[in-house]
Amino acid sequence: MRVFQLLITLAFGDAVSNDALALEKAISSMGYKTKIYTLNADPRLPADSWVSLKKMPSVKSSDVIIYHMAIGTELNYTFGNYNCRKIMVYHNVTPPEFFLGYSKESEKLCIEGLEGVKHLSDKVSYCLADSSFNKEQLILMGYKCRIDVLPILIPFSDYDKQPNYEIVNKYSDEYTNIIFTGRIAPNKKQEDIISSFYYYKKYINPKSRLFLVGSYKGMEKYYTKLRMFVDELELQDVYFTGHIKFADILAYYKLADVFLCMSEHEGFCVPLVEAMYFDIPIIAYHSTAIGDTLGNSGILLEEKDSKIAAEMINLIVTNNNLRTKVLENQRIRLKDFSHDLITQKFKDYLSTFIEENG
Amino acid sequence: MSDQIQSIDINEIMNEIRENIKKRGYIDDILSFEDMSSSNGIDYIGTDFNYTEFAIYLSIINDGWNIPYYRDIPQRGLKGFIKKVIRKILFSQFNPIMEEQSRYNANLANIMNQLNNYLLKQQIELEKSSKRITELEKRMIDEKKEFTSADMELNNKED
Repeated sequence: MRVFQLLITLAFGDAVSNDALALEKAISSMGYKTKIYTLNADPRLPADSWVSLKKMPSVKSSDVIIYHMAIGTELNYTFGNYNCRKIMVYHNVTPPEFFLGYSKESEKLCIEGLEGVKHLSDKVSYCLADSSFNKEQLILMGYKCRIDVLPILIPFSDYDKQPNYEIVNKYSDEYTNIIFTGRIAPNKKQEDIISSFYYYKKYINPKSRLFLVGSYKGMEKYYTKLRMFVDELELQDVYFTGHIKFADILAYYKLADVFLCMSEHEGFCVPLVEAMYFDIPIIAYHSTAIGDTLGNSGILLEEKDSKIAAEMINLIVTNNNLRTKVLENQRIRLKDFSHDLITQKFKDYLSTFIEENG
Repeated sequence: MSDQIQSIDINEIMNEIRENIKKRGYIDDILSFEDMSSSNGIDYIGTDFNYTEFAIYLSIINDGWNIPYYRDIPQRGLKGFIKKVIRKILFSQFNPIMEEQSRYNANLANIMNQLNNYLLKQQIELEKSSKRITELEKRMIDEKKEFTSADMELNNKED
């Protein structure tokens, strides 16, 4: 019996890809022969970490294929035809309406992605979902098989690497630094972060900065609109980093005073866990999987109101008792994402599945 | 572990925030993001540049620009012999086309290498300018402090 993993693209530094690579180690440690098969792989990844899907051997009915589902691809249909035991890891497909007017390609991929998820509803034996929200989404799409929640495996040891101290030193002063990390993408609503920062800077604390850390590749129209928005507001001290080195990302986490998330669609949101790791108080709009990931830690905003967000930033920064409580809660919640804990959970789930579906 | 999380009275906090909002005197003059056009006659700023990716693909281009018109024939015996004969027959037809393609690839690879050199040169110039700006900013701050101090001293003397 072999346990293979399948995904359309194995990218470098991508949450889904990191998850697959970490799960491979877990599967291998259980004594199973395993490989990651993919159509595209980043050349920066070690050559032995993946094999081209074209070279995937014929599967036997005793084999298990774990498929990482996150986007529209022909593979969503091919996977359903494999004559073996099938597990789908659902990372969530962003609703296509977020990309209307910004990216026809992304819109199309998301439409096809959701069709693919529905297509697989009666073709997989078991699902793993990154969050309870993702699990509910699968149930709504007609999945009747067993679905367990397994948070994404996060390589915390990477965060202990050296940050870019040039950036840390440059912005370490009396200014309040607010950050959000994540791709520049319409579902992440960076415009609402900018609006909140506008009120905070203009009415509460002029000595403040906003760093939007993330690549805008593929979302150039949305990025242009955000830049124009900042210009129209005559807002200073807003920084779009674009794609930057990992050491630079670490630097922004190091100098952050507040992590502000106004996203309206997330399947898990790894940056929230990263903010917890770097001990940054989190303020987040309560949508989709955000509440699941925060798990009663951080501060959840039930209303999408930029003035409320601005005032909350101020409270977190000036009220020591509140900030201390929030950080303590986040440190407790962070333990739920420990690498060993999640790895063991995965091993238990996989063992149970193999036993029950022998 | 999540059971140990302390509850935070969010209602109390929200009440405080609403009070602060009333007192703050916010003016609702903010432009709506939805009302903005995604293009105001300005084209995209340009795609997000990732030098690491650029360097990796440049290396792949430099390794792979020359494409021979055939692949090695590993088979022996009659099958291998027939394939080699067919290859020889097609040589005069396909080799010139592949050579032209390889020349084109080589030219593209050269352009990309030139571009890479330009990027690296610009990077060095940028770093030098950045350093100079930092030094000048520091000097400006120091001189401003000196000026302020001197001005205060003068005012004190006049008093």
